[in-house]
Amino acid sequence: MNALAQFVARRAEAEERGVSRRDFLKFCGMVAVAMGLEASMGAQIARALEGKKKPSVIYMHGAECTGCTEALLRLVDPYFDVLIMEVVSLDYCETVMAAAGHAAHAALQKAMKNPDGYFCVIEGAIPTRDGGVYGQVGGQTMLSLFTEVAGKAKGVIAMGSCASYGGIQAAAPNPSKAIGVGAALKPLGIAPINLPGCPPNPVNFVGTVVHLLTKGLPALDTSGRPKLFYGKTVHDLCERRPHFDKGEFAPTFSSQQARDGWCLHKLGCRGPWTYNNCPTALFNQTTWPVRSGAPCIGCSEPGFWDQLAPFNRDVREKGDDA
Amino acid sequence: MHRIRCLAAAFLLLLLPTALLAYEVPKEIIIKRPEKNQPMAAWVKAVTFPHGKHAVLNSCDSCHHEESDRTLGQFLPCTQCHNKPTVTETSSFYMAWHNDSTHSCLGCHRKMREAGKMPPLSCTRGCHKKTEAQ
Repeated sequence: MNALAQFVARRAEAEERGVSRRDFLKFCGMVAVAMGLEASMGAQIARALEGKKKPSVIYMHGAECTGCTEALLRLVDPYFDVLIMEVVSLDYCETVMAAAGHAAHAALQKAMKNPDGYFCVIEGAIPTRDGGVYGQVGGQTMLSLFTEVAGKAKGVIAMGSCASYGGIQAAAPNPSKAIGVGAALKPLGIAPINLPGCPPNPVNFVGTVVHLLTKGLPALDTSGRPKLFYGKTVHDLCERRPHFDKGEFAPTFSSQQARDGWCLHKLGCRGPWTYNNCPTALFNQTTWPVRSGAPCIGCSEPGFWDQLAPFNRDVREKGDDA
Repeated sequence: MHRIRCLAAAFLLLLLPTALLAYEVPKEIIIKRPEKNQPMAAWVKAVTFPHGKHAVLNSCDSCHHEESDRTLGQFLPCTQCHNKPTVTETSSFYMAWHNDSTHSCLGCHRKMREAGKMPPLSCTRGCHKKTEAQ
């Protein structure tokens, strides 16, 4: 069953039973842990969220692969439906909304007129060459549409590496001259909260949204990332770190040492200068690249892709072959 | 008036050797872990830092970030402040070199890579050289 079908089935199930109080509290506890608080703080978060009117969220798609939305759809504890039915009101999202074409555009216009305002989430980079004509939605350039939507928003979240810093869309030769949301909308004075990652862990998104609703803007680092989730390097959190400290580096991917959990530094791990919480947050509550035997490629860093490639080998030094 | 000027000039001339001494820039610095700190990685030894080369390429305050024209010479070795044994605090020995700030080795080298330059970055081939035999 594909993700959308699963989502639809789960949504139908949720509509039938209603989102239970237990689900909601479980969600708040999970968010508390993700935010680095005690799980018991969940009740406090629940009270803070319940006291507020659900904020409207407009989720825009730029030049992207929808991988970030796909990651978000696989959110468990809370399920995605709890997020969009209990915590926020997702008023526009091309991937999950039923409407299409003019009806979808009308929904966007309506959501933007919300008297209580809205938060804008942007996934994907923004093409800017030739006035941005290489990325359009309904005949309007993404650059102009996002300027309009983000310009009126109460806050902007850049979801994923492409929206944060340009990501893969901005890799050489960058034919559409794609840039990140922060760079593209800087003239408007918009500084988004960047949640980079390819994809970012959905927990980071939920945690940021809940932080915005309960405590306001989270503390950001110099690259605009919430320190709560991007405050430590992958290297410092890595489960293979004891092997690094012992100088035990796996020589090849197929070696027994790699299977035994030795450090993947010589196979190209970018963990020592990549800020993210993959080792502790895990993807799909199961694993993360380094646990699965693939070195970190630094996907949440500014400059990803070009400056971190070529992957699966130690970082290029002066004099090395390209 | 003229005499006062002459006296002032002579006084400044006397100060010159002291000032020059204060500006002496070491060519190399051996960076050693403070003795009370436990080693994090068993194979990481003291690092020979080419200070002279960095001093030619950068202004002093790009690394000596606590220094100003009023404190000249009061905050010279990094370990004067960065000596805590933890990993996360900016005042730790480890974070002096591995922070994302451009005052720190790794942060600055990363930033330079963004600008298209190629300062060393690999752990084992950059600062902490480690061959297969080690």
